[in-house]
Amino acid sequence: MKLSSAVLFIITLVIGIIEILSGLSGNAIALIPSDVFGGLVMLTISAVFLRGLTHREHYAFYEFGSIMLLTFSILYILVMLANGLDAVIVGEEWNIIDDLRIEMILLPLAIPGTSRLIKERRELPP
Amino acid sequence: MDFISELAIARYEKIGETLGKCVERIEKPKTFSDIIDIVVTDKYVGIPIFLSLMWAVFQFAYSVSAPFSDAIDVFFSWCADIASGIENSYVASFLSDGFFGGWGFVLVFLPPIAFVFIALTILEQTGYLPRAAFVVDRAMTKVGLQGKSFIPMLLGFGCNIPAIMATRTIEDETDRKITIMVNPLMSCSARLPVYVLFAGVFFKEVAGAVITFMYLLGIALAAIMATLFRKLVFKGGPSPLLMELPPYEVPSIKSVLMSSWLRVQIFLKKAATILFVGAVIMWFLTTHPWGATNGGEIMENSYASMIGHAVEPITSIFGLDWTAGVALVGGFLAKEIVVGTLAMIYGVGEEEVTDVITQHFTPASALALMVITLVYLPCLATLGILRQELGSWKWTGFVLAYELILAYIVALIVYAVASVVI
Repeated sequence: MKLSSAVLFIITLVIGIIEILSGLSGNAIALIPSDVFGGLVMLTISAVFLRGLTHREHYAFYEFGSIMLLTFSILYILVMLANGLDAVIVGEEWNIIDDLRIEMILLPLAIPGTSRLIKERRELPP
Repeated sequence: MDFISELAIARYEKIGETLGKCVERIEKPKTFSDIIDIVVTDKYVGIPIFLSLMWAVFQFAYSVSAPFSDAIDVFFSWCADIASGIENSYVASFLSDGFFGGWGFVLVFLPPIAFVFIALTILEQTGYLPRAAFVVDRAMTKVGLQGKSFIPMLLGFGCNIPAIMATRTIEDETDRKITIMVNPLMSCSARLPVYVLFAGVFFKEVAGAVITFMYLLGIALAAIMATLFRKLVFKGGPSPLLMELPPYEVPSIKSVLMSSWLRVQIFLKKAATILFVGAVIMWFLTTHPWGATNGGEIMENSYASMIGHAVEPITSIFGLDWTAGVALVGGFLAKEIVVGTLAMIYGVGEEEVTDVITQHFTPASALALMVITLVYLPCLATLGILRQELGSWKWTGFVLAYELILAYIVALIVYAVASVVI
């Protein structure tokens, strides 16, 4: 589990830094938008995984970091769908590629940690 | 510490003492809530997690709700277009600009507000919001507020109306009053078009930084005013945060929707009426006297122009002419009207207003206008909610007075500094 946390820490850290840097410079890269606040969110998720690496209850940080990653992946998918619907309503052109974000692709990586959390919810008292 | 807090602490001590005598303690099994709380109340990542989730709330509210707002806008624009074809020009103008324009203007705000309520209800019903209040309590106490004040303050970035209504979760009356009174200083989304327009025209390279500055200025002013109110108006410190942390739950879709709908209904009943009437008033002011304005064609002869010239002696101190005065008066009805009113006065669409604007403003006066828009007065709907939640005209009047004075002082400082620097 610590290995998974370490891998997710590095991935989210790198993405967060790139999103912030491209947000400040205004140069977007494919799949990584210029989004300072989105980058800060990724840095927060990476900080959760990092904290787990040094904490006695490391599994809690791994699970919560995973559910945060899942939440933001779903949020960005909703935003993408909303943009598509909006384009239809106002009659503008919409290219799905413009709204794709790397966080959506990371969604499968969030599933193991989220599944563990769901399992604990079933087994432990509330 | 007040009497109620002391009483609560004494009760807990007595309970602990009694339990210690008659209950044999065994190792408490770890609960699901314990696992989550280890992370969300962590001293290092607790606040960043909270801020990230709040950002998610706003993304959900404003990005995901956008197609619904646009659908409403498209529908009412279509109604207005049909009404504008009516032969009687007065009826056509009233129906298209006043009635359908007014209703459309009100209802486009419904989706983001409903989405904010849905997102916050989810956070509330999962049991996360009490933890959030706990996490930010220390920072809030330093500026004379308490942990529970933070949620309404943050909601203020979206819309001050649900933000002020959200103060109902604060039990202590003084804490609640201070939170309500400084909440209009949080820059709601309706002010953003003004920042975007003027920062885009006059500060192209650093437009983002200028807009961020406006938001930070709002936060700083709210913190300063809350501290002053706590020290000068309401004596004593903020009440300590005593709350039971409920176990985490998975909310049902039905209960989230029901709870959100109840809050949306309050918005519809209270704010929509005021906003709608406000939009009709704006139509009246910009198109009357009907004959003199030639049905709204000659703006210079309108009541709006008279109002603009009446406030010009005040606005001219900041380098603003009568057109800015009308826009600011319109902004009292709703902040979104500021940009639209300028477009109406200059006789151009909102997109073309950029070209004309440089003839009426300088970078320093544009900054002053942004600061005034941020601080000067809450919009009419917020005023109604202020009166309702403060429960007195005296305190509502106090809020209006301090905001006007504060806007004057801050705008003057910003204008003077900007005139020298830029």
